[in-house]
Amino acid sequence: MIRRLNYTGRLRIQRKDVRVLLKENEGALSFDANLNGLADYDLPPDASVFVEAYRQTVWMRFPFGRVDAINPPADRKLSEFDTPEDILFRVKITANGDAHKLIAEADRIPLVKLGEKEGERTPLLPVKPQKLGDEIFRVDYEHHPKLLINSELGDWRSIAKSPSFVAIAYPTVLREILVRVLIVDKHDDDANTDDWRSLWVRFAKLSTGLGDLPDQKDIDERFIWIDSAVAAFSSRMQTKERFSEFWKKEAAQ
Amino acid sequence: MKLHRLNKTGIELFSYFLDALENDPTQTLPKSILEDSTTSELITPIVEVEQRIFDNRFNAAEYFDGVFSKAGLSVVDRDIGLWSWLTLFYLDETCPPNKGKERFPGHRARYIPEVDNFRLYYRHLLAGPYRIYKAHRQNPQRAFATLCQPIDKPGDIVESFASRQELITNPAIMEVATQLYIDPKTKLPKRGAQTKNAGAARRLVDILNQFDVTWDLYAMLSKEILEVLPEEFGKFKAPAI
Repeated sequence: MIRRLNYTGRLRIQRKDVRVLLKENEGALSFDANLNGLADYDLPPDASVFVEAYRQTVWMRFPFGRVDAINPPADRKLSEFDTPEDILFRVKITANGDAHKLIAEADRIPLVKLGEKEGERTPLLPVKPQKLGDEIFRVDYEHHPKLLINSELGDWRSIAKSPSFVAIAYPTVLREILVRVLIVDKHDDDANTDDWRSLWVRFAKLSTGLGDLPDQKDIDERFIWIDSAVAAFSSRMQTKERFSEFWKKEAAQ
Repeated sequence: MKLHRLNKTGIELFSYFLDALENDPTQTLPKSILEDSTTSELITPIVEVEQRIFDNRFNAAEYFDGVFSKAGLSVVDRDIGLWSWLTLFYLDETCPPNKGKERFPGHRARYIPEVDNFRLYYRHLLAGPYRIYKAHRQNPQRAFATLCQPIDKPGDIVESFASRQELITNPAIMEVATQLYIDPKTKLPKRGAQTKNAGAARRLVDILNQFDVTWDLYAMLSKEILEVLPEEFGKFKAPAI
């Protein structure tokens, strides 16, 4: 992830305040965007609103009128995209008359499919297949952490749920992510629901019952905190029992 | 030859061939898998592709765009079998032999596209330039900074821009990159464009990443972006002598 400094006072619109619904009609993709949540922000009424859809080298932009008069374009077809998978959206609010100044932005908004509940949109750690050479799994940090499982191994969904994999991989993954969040990024917050790092801090605190984080300057204490979090997580997941059972069967063969 | 796509077996054989080249760089091309029905499938309507030498990534992308139009293929970006077939068909371009008839392939993603991997998808030697060409179809010349290179040597400018979705898809930014770094006479990168020095392509990427926080770069014209660039880019603004 490229880190950029926001010195401009640009408002960050929370993803929960924007909802993009996928529509499919005989294979043709389009979308509806619910931007009612923008009313909760102190935005200039005459500022322009744009919605952008993107994935890799494919990008489309849709003008949505002004803050005080949201006016979706009639044509909201996602004609440049072949499938809805991994399409993300951005909402941009730009100043009227001030040379393209960006006032507010929401980014990495996923599509919600019809009938999908809000809470189902993004699991904390989505699992995806990918060719990984000789590696079995890897954590990918594009946008937010994903657990990649080597697609050449076969049924990756079953692998992700298998007791031996769960017992070995998941504590390792938790440790890696927490080291990145707490040691590398020195992240403290657990309240910003739009920041995956905050979600992981909250997860670690709630699921392990550990108290407040040690100060970010105290690296050693943070490593100890992470060790405790992984130990508590492993205990809750009964990883030793799972692996032990798997190993007994393996040894008996 | 008629345009095909490799099936799963064909892709595996192609992959084995690339592996085999690491041990024996003089391995001969497994051409039979290009048309064998057990390793490839014919694309219909039938379209012929011809062996040719591409001057650069732009020529290749332009040619493929024409081929796909004839075949009625509108969405091919993520077609792993098709791009693997084309890479094998044009192996003398994608992995040219040296004087000793040895081939030394690079990362696998250059030959068999990794369409779901955001760090690698743009590195495919044929799909990469085609995606850029297609993203700028209304005026692909504006993205020439990332399309002027030989097929098998994309280089630093391509890596700097293509790895960042918000830059490679932005028409004005690609115009700026082409104006700054491509010599209009030679159609090649200007001296110093691919270095780590002030004003070089990598610096432009850094600066644009910071601008992206302040301005709606997709709404800006190339002229407007050029006007707000720091002085270090001045030497590249002047036309090459």
